[in-house]
Amino acid sequence: MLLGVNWLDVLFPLVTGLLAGGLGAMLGLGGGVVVVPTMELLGGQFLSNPHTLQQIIAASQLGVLSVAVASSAGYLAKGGFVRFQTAYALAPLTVFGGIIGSLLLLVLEPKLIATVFSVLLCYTAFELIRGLNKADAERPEPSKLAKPALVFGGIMSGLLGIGGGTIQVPVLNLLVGLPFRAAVATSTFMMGFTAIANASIQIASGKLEPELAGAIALGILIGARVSSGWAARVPVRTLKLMFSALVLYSAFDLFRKYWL
Amino acid sequence: MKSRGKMREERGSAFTLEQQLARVFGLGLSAALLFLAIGIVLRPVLWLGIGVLMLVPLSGAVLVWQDKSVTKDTRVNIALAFAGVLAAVLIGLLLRR
Repeated sequence: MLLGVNWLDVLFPLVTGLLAGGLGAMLGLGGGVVVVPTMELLGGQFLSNPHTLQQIIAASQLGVLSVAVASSAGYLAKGGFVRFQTAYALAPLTVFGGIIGSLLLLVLEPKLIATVFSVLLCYTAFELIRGLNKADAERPEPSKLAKPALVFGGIMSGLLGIGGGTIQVPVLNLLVGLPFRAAVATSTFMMGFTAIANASIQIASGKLEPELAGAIALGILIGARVSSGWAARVPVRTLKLMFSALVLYSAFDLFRKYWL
Repeated sequence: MKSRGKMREERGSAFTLEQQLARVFGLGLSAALLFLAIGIVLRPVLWLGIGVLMLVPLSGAVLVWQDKSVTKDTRVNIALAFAGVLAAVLIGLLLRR
């Protein structure tokens, strides 16, 4: 204890945030897929007072907001990537989905949430591997499936504490018709609004642990900032493969923790 | 001689909407980083950091709303997104009881 702070309780979420922010900025992820499994599976070994899955997911919402702000700042500074009209036209859908997801988080059993999260992690790994050799696909007219898909993305984001990029980016690219890089930037920009709504529910209902959320958010902000300079030099293909393996392992471990 | 307001207006119009948003997000990011770092030791400042982080996308939306090039549909969508955030706060407060 120094300055009245248990530093391990600060450093562990901070380092988790650093990792999530760094990988999130390089791979176009919200960070929740790193924060939630890491805190849930390793928190018991490092923290003096381990948190429940719901508390971790609530804190992760603020982490997602950090990724959204940090990455959007980068994309806006580069210019030409964020499609405002599309982002604001679709943001109410993800906000609406996020509210439903946040309410589900408060009533559903942790076992069920962990199972849904495991499935989502497997899907994330699949998307990362599939995206290794994917070319840009443009579409003249948005598909009718785009809106329900984005509401679903919002629900997953509110329920699991993820940014929803795993769902939003393919939807914006394949169903709405934005070029891939614009889809990533626009999804990140939209994520901000969804994360504010999700975090607001958790804060107003008193479920957010400010110390945990603050440490994760700080780590993510630093990680995203540092790694954005490295992005061009890191072999993204190798990183995606390694991260996919890690994500699959986390999915298995999370499933095992609650079921076996 | 030009008034200060007129000069500010002219200077402001030299930036595109995207550049203005980039400035807002960049400033918000730096402020949140600073407040969250101090907040590890001083808890009230931690809330300030969280507040700043939440205000950044909302300020961005207000900037877009005010821009002359933005269509009426976009303004309606921004209002809907704001209504969603407000509804989220109200639902959270109801759940607290």
